[in-house]
Amino acid sequence: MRKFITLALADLKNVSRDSFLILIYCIPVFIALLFRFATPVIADFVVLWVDLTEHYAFIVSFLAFLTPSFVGMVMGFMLLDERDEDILSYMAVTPLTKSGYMLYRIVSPVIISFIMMYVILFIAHLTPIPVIRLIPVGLMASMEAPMLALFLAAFANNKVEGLAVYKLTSMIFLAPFVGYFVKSNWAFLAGILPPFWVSKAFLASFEPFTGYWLFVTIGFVIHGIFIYLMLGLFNRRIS
Amino acid sequence: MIEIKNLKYTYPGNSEETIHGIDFRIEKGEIFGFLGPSGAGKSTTQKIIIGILKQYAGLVQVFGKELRDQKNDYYEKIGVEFEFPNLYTKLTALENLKFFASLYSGETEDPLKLLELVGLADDADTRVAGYSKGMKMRLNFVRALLNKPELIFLDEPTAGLDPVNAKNIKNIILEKKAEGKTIFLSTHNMTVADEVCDRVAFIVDGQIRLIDSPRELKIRNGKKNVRVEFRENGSTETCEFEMKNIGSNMEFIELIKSKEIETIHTQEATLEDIFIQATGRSLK
Repeated sequence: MRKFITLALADLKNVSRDSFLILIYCIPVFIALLFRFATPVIADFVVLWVDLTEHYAFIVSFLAFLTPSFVGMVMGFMLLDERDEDILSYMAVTPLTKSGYMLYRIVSPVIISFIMMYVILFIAHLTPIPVIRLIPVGLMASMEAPMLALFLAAFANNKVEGLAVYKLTSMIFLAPFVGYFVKSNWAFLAGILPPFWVSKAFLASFEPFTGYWLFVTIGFVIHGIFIYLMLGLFNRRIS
Repeated sequence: MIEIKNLKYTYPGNSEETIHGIDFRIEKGEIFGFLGPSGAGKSTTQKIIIGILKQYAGLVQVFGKELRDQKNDYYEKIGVEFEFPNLYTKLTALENLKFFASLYSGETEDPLKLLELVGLADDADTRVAGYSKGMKMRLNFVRALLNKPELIFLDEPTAGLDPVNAKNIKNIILEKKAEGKTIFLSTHNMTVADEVCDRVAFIVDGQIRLIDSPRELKIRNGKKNVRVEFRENGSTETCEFEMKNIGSNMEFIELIKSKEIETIHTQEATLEDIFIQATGRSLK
C-alpha cells in the first residue's frame, strides 16, 4: 500500500510537470460544464422537434465513459514515456517487481476515473445521480481507462501517434448509440465493444430495471477480457 | 555468491540457443568481469541472473538458493545498473532517488550522499531531462547502490564518462569491494576490466572461452621480454631482452648505463590481445 502511494505521488509530480497532461485532465470538466449550461439551451431550441429532456440520462451516460477515456489517455501517455525511458526494466528489478508495477498501472486509473466520474456527473448536473446504484457501473466504466492506456502504449510509437490511436479508439463510443437507438436485438452485436455495457447499465441504474445486474456483470467480463488482451499486447511490445 | 552450471537460454520464438551451457562461480567480495563483444550473451546472462528472463535451463544459484525459488526479497539484496539510463526525466535527480528508495523495505542510502559521491550534489534539484549523458550515467550508476545491496550488477558503468568521472566510478567500485560487496560487471572495455576485476570471463557466441584473473592472463600469455626504447643519433631505437637472468645480461646493463633511455616495458599481453587470441574475435 505504501508503495502504491509512493507511485501515485510520483505520478502526480509527473503529470503536474506536463501541461499537455493537465489539459487532458481538464477536458472532461469542460465537457461537463458544456453539458450543464448548453444542453438546456439546445433543448429549448429544438423543443418543437424533439424533447431532449427525455434523453438527458443517455446524454449524461456519455460522461460515464468519456471521463475514463481521458484518464486512459493520460495514463497511456505516461506509459509511453515510461516505455521510452525503459522505466519498466528497472521496476522489474526492485521489490515491487514488474507485475506489481503493472497492477498499479491498471488499478490506479480505475480509482482516478471512478472518483472523477462522480465529480463530473455532479458538475454536469443534468439528472439526479443514483449515487449508490451507480457504484458498480462507475467501477466497470472506469476499467476503460487502463484498457485504453495499454492499447495506446502498445500501438503508438510516440505521443503524436498516441493522439491518432486515441482517435481511433473513440470509434468504440459509437456502440452506446447503437444500443440506445437501434431497437432490434441485433443491437447487442455492438456489445462486443465495452462502452455498450457502460451505457446500458448506466441507463438501467435510473430505473428499477431487471437487466441492471446482467448488464453490469457482462460489462465487467468484457472489460476484463479487453484489459487482459491489451496487457498481452503491451507486454509483447516491450519485450 | 553466484553459481552457474550448464546455463542455457533460448529466446522465445528463436530456434537457436543464445547461451550454450555456460558455467562459472563468483565468490563473495569478488569483482567479476564479464567481457565480450556486443551480442555475445553478456546482457542475456545478466538478465537471467537478475530474474528478468525466466525460462532458462540449468542451475542458477544466488545467495545459495536457486533463482526460481527466490522471493521478492531477492530484489532487496541486489542492485542493478542498466547499460542505458532508465530514469524519470521529468523528476529531479533527488526526486528520482527518493522515489526508487521508497520501493525498498530495507535500509537505504541517503540520496544526497549518493549524489555527492558522483559529483551531482549541486545538480540534485535539476530535472533529469536537463542532464547531460554523462550525468545521467552517473545517476544511473549510483541508483544501483541505493538499497545497500550485497550483490551489484553493473553494465558498462564507465561508458560515456570523461576520464575524471570514469576514475571516480572505478574507485567507488573498488570501495564497494572493500566493504565486502560482490560485483558482477559486464563490459567490453578491457581497461576497466583490467583495473578493477579480480577475475574475468570471456564470452563469445553464448560460450565462455576463458576465466582467470587479468594479471595471470597477461603474464601467462605475454612474452617474457623487456623492451627498451632509447635515443641514439637523434632518433628512437628499440631493443628487446629476455627477462630470464636479465640482471646478469651485460648487453642490457650496458645499454641502460650508456644510453638515454625513454621507456622500459615488460611485454605481458594486454587483455585485448588475449581476448582476440582466445576467441578469434575483436571486442568492437
